[in-house]
Amino acid sequence: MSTHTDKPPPSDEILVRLAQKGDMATFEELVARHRERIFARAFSIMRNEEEAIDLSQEAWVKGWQRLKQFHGDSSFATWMTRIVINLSLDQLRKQKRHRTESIEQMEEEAGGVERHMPVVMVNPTARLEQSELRQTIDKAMAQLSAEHRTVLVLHEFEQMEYKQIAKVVGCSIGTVMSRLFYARRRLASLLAGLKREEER
Amino acid sequence: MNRESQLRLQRYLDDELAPAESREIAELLVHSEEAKALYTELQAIKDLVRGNELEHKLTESREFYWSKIAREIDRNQPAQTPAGRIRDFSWLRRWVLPFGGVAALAVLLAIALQVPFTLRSGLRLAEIPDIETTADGTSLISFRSESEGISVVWVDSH
Repeated sequence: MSTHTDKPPPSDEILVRLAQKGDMATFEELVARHRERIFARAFSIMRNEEEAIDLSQEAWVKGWQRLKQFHGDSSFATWMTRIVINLSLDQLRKQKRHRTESIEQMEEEAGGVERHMPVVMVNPTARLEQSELRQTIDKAMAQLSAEHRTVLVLHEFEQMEYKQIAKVVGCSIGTVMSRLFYARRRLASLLAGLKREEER
Repeated sequence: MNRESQLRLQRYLDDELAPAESREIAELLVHSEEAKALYTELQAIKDLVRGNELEHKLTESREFYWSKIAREIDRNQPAQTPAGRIRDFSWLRRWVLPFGGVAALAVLLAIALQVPFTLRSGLRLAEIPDIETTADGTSLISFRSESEGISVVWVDSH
């Protein structure tokens, strides 16, 4: 009787090395492995599906073009995520030139309205299933301005330090702290509001 | 609490404070209810967001999604090929072009050499058709030197 054991799939490192030699089929495999993550990161910043798809695909094209510059200092997925974050932030900057500042932004920059928000005791886990909880948080995050949401995404989802966020976003550490503080306080308030709505 | 204290509280939460400052904030949290309430709120939001990212799924199929990427890569290929595809052919270009040139020259030279040879060859001369004239009062005198490889035809019309 013969036993059949499936070979484990090749690691990202092996696929990257082959792709660096010009193997497009291998690169396609890398795209298939990580496309959801790259799209999700673009979506979390842009909150627009079409834009997120376009930006994620642009990121993969850039990834291919710069593949020789990848030396494995981070994982391939992290490297690709940085590319899509940069593209998304560039896109936001372009859009910002064509729109007026959000009310939130003006409030924050006018002198820290978040300081006067009442402290909210958030305990949405009390009755919500995890999938519901995730949807509730996502809904609240969608209501933040792109600037505030981006800082929150980079800090909580990408676990970047203040210094790294400042560098990626192109602002001071003080601005990062201020935006993060506002985003958290606003999110607490929004979640409390959503919870109240559900209870009605 | 002033703005600076609130931001320091947040830096404490995010582990972005120097140890000496951290001790100060820890002390503040013991004595200030306001600081404690704010810290609790910030921490709750941090924990909540960090572990609960909603998965946004791509609606496009793998093939369709890849096709646009592949098209873009192909469009930009000549300028930005990560691998040595172009270099793979460059060695061919490096050798084929000079050798091709030399071969072309050799062919031209052979043709050039062939022409006097054919003229020198008696067999080939024999293939040159005779010229006949029916005009009255015209006479021809021809001379051929095999050693010089030339033929002279003298046409005399009266």
